[in-house]
Amino acid sequence: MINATVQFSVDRPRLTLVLVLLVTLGLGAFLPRITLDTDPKDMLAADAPVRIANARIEQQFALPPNMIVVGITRTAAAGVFEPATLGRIHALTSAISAIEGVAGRDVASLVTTNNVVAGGTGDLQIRPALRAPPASAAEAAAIRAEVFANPLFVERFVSRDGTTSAIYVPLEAGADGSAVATRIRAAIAQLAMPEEVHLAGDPIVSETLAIEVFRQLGIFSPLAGVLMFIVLFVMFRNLPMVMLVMVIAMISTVWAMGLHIALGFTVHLMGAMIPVFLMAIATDSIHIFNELQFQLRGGTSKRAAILDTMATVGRPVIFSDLTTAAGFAALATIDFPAIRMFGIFVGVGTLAILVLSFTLVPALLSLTNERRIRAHAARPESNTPNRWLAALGRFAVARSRAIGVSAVLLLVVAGFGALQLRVNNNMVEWFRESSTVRSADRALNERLGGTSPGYLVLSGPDGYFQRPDGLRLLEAVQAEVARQPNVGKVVSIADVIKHTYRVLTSQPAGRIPDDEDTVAQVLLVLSSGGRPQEIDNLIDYAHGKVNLSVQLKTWDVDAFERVIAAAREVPARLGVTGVTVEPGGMANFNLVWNQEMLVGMMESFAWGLAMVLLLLMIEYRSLLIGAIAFIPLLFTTAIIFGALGIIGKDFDMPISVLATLTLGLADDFAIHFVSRLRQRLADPESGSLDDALRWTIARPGLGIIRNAVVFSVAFFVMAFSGFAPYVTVGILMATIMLLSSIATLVMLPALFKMFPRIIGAESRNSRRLVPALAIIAVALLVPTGVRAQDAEDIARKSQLAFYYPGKDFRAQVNMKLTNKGGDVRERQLTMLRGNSGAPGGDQRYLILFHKPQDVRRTSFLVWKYPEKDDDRWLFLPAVDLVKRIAASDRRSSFVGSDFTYEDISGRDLSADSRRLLRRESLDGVDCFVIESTPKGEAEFARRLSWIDSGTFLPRKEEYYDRHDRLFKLFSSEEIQVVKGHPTMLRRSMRDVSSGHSTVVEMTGVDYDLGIEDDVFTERYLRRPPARWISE
Amino acid sequence: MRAWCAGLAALTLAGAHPSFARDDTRDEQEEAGLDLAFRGFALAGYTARLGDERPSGADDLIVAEERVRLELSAEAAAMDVAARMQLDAAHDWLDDRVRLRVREAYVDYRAGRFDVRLGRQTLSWGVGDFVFINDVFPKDYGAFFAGQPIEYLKVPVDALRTTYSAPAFALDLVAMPRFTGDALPRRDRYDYAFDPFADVSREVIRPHRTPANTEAAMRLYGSVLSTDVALYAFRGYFHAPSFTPDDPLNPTLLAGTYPPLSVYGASLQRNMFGGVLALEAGYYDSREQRSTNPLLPGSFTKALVGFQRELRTDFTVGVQYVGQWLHRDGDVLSLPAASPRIERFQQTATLRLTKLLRHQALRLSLFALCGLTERDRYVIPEIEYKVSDRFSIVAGANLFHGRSPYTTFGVFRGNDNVYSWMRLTF
Repeated sequence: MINATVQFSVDRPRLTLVLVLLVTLGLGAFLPRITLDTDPKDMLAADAPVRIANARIEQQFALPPNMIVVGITRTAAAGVFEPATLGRIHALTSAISAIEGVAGRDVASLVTTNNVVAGGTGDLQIRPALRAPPASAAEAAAIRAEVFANPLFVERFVSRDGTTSAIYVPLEAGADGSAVATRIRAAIAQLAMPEEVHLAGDPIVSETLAIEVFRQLGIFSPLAGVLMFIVLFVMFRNLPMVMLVMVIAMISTVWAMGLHIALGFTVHLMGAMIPVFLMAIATDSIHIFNELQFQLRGGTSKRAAILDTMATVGRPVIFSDLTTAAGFAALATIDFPAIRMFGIFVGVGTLAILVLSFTLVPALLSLTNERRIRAHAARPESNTPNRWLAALGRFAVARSRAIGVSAVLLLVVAGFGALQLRVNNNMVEWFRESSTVRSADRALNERLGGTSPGYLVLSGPDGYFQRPDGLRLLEAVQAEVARQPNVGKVVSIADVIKHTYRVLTSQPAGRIPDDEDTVAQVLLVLSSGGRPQEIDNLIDYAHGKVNLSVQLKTWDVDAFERVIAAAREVPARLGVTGVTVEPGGMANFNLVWNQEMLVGMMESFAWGLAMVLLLLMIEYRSLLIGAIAFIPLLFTTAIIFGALGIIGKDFDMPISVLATLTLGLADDFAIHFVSRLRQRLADPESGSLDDALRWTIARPGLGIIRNAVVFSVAFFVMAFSGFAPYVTVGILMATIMLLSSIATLVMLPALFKMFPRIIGAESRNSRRLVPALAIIAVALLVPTGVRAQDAEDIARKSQLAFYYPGKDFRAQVNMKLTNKGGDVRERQLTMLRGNSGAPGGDQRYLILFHKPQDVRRTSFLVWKYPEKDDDRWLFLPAVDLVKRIAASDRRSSFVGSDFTYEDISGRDLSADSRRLLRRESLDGVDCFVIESTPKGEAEFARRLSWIDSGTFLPRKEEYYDRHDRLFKLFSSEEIQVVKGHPTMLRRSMRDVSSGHSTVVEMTGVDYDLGIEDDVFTERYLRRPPARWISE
Repeated sequence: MRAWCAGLAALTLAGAHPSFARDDTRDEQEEAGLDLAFRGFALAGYTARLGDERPSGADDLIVAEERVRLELSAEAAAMDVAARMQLDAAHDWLDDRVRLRVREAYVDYRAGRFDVRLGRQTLSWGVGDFVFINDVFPKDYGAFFAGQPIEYLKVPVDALRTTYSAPAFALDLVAMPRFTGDALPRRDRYDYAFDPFADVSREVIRPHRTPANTEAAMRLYGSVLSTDVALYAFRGYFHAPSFTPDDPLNPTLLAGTYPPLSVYGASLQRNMFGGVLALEAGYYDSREQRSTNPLLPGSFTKALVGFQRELRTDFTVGVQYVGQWLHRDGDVLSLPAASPRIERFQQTATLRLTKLLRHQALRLSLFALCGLTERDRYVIPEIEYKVSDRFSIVAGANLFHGRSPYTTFGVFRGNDNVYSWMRLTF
């Protein structure tokens, strides 16, 4: 089959070219539709337990999911307690509160957060410290005294030395962090603040990260391309060949990215790196050119040379590409959608390169002017590297024992190093030391209580934390947590109660009141203090759960791990039972992310190892040879891990991904080497094993070295990036390539020399390709299929269950529109639906109105497409006219009801991004609760859907507007199974603000009636198909 | 022509033949009974003049009538036969007369790929919005200018309409044996700003009802690449009469005739730029030799480009540009000296705004037709409120403007009016 393909391509090069171009254009057409997701959080599946737990904690305590910290520093004498600076802090706080996307009423600063002080007459005053800008230095000093008297404020709003004040800016759910940051910066600029102002916090890191990833990619991928080009040209001195490699890289990128986008997957941060990887993998075709040069020197015709080359290097190229694809496909077993997609589509791209190697490459070679290819082949100096390699060959063959011993020694050292590996992830440290993100983070961490927020939720029985013993436990946990390294400010309800109680009783030091009633009183005083959310953030209504807010001064994840461990240990030590500690917040997210990532990477690493080994054994039909070919890979991996441990580099996200990638790449060279060695041994011309080894090192070895150099150069440029993950990727990839090429050319000959009997001549049998391909296919598909349901999956199933069941559908629909005053309008219609495409694809609707009288016989035809505007036609019987009508706005009300066109025929899944918040029971039905946020303009800003986990029909939906107010409420009121399809026979939509509501009832529901396609045409629009209609 | 009719009849009969007319998957249990329905509405409409210009003796009102519509429909679903009759009884206060009119009366028959409608029926096609190019079917501009419900713009015709629907395309063939002309604004109700023969009596001669005079219209339509494509052809007569004075200098009688006309045209319509883009063009071939009478209309080509889009929820904007190009057969220069100059190329633009409020119970709309060449305008603001599912009220105005009385709307410039009507359906 392979030979036939090559022959076809050589004989019909132009047709091949056109076919490749057609596929490329077809897939390339999808490129403009790219949707990017740059939130690093989205690398974790929406239903990952940590995301659900975080969402729950955020909801319980009304905590904003994300927060920006604004630090204002003035180092002059009085610090920030100087009238003008305080005035600007005051102005900035109000400016920030008004910013769109900021949860305005939750902004915390000296200006907004209540302080509890004793009033002049001995009563209690609850009001912010900085109510109005002070007029004089004396007033400023008074504010300073008041602020420092409240231990809750120190290190939270003001640094101990009084030089820095912070404003905590919580974001509304779904707000765009980078947009908010931009607006905050604009507000700062507008105030022309002479003070140093820093922005920090997770949204800032994420924002900068996203910008950085794409900016650096924009610089380095073209640069890598140019360098590759130059190196290739220096090696081959042959422009057509070099161009060919570049073309393969580009086309495979278009195929992989086109397919990625066409299948509707969002491109995450990782996905943006796919082109760079494919560029590097495309260098595999060097083996073809390398061999072709040798063949042409033999003086055969160009056609024969091409065919011979493909026959010789064909198998190793296939198997090295397959193992590369398998290595990347192993990433599909990982629980991070972003990494999964990255792995799968680099795998797809690699297969594209494989296909191109056997089609486009021979086609273009046969089109190229023979002299231009040959010109270089005859050049004598192209033999220079051969001499080097010949020497290397002699060395490897002669010193096999020494090589073996050194390798074992190296492995021991590497093993020792690997034991030192520390798993850690610190996104902030990905940036250059001098970057604004890092300096802002450093500045604020030095002076204030930390920029990385974590939460610890202590849960006990209701009312437990209103009792003095409960509060004392909380105090103990807090003290233990605060003792941990890198922990900054820790705040709990105990602090607030102590401070308030102190002010209340005019005691010098705060303490927990001795009886429950006093605590209750203090809590009551606090919750009536104007900003009850300050209390709600720390304790729930039932007083059974408290939130310990921990600000960490580092983004290292193990810091929070220690905090959790310390907190968990306290109740046990004090002999308290029934109190649990649960972590949450960004710090916890990073922690869990890390742990899951490690587990996931280990799993996929194991998968990858198994797959590659299996492929090798199938290819060589020998367990032993397969295992030997596997050795350079193992060796490379071990050395890399060991080196990382020894130099003390954390095993972080980029590295863990790379570890898996090594699998696919590092083995390429061994495959080429072993295959060609066996071919040589089968050749009667070959002499002894030593001769064959030397030949293999000198001839295919040249290809291996060339490939390794090109690959290393292309990746090594990234080492000059200022962005740590890229530096890591760049250096490591280059190292992996060089190491594995050397391991191949030095260790394999030594091994074969030591155990000469294991290597035999190759027997040609191409049937082995089939099981190998099957393994790749399974590896690519199985892991993606068996993943747990995530939000997208649920939404898709829900759409299918709600709008797509059956091949066709008919119902009599009765709509009752009721306004606030109770006036009822009725709409009666027959709805016919046919699915013309696959489930989730195109649909057609024919809607015939029966009531009210004035629209009787009016009918409506819709051809619905998931990705573009519907085609809609309306038939007006009074003038006998079929009118095509504008359908751009699917949010328009359907016949004046509270349902929109979208509600009738389904909203595009790609129009929203969504996450799974939780699973909960709604009226005894187990439901997924999904939050959808529109990507573009929509009538709602956020929608919560309760989706029945059994039928996947939505049970309830809440629509929230831009101000997060509920404005529309959908509920499913009756579901029955009709012909095996759970069907919603009664549903309602209520406009909460206007009081208008619509109830829809369906009767005569039936599926799979065999409604013909032509029913959905103008003919039946003009005169309804009597057969399907009964009024 | 005769051959053409015979062919049509043959096709119809062939289609009716049971062997390929019916698909046998049909559900046999479906009731074979006759489904009778009786419906209708009551409508009261009044249109009051705003200006002072009026035909001598005319009232302040242009329209003042109460109307009752009765509709009887019968459907035998099992046989794919349906019949409908609409009867209008209107009491006109201005003439103080009761008029009875059969608006529609037809039988529908569906057989295989054929649909046949025989009898008095309303016919419309084309993609223009109040701009008619290939829709050559008769219209009642008097009712339109008075703001009466839009269905009264169309004058029903007695016709046989046959539709053949293939999977990829469909073909409409219409034969109209009895000539029906446009109903022009009545001279006793509307003031014509320019009328050189105001007091001369008129006599209109319709084409005789002979098979050869049967008007025929055809539409071939389908969907290609998400685009609605249609080709049109028409052979018949102009539907507005052309008047020729017996003696140009001292006329005593104006003889009106309907000159023969053929129209060939095409239209395209598709979703584009988030809305609907429409293109339509037609070539009007005036078959009469104009050299014999320069007062007869010449051949011309008319084309429109329209775009309509829902800009915001329940707010739709439509714009059209229309160009009309008079051909040089029988030169316009040979018109009598007193006649106004006619521009060879005329451009018109239209704008329509529609806003729906209160759950689509309240509709505000504005339609404006602006003659770019003739510098005249016709503007219709309208408001409709559906008080309940049965009862609705409409109010609006027809505003004409034109500097020159010779232009299409300038000639009606004294007829600005406001109107209101109420409809109760039952």
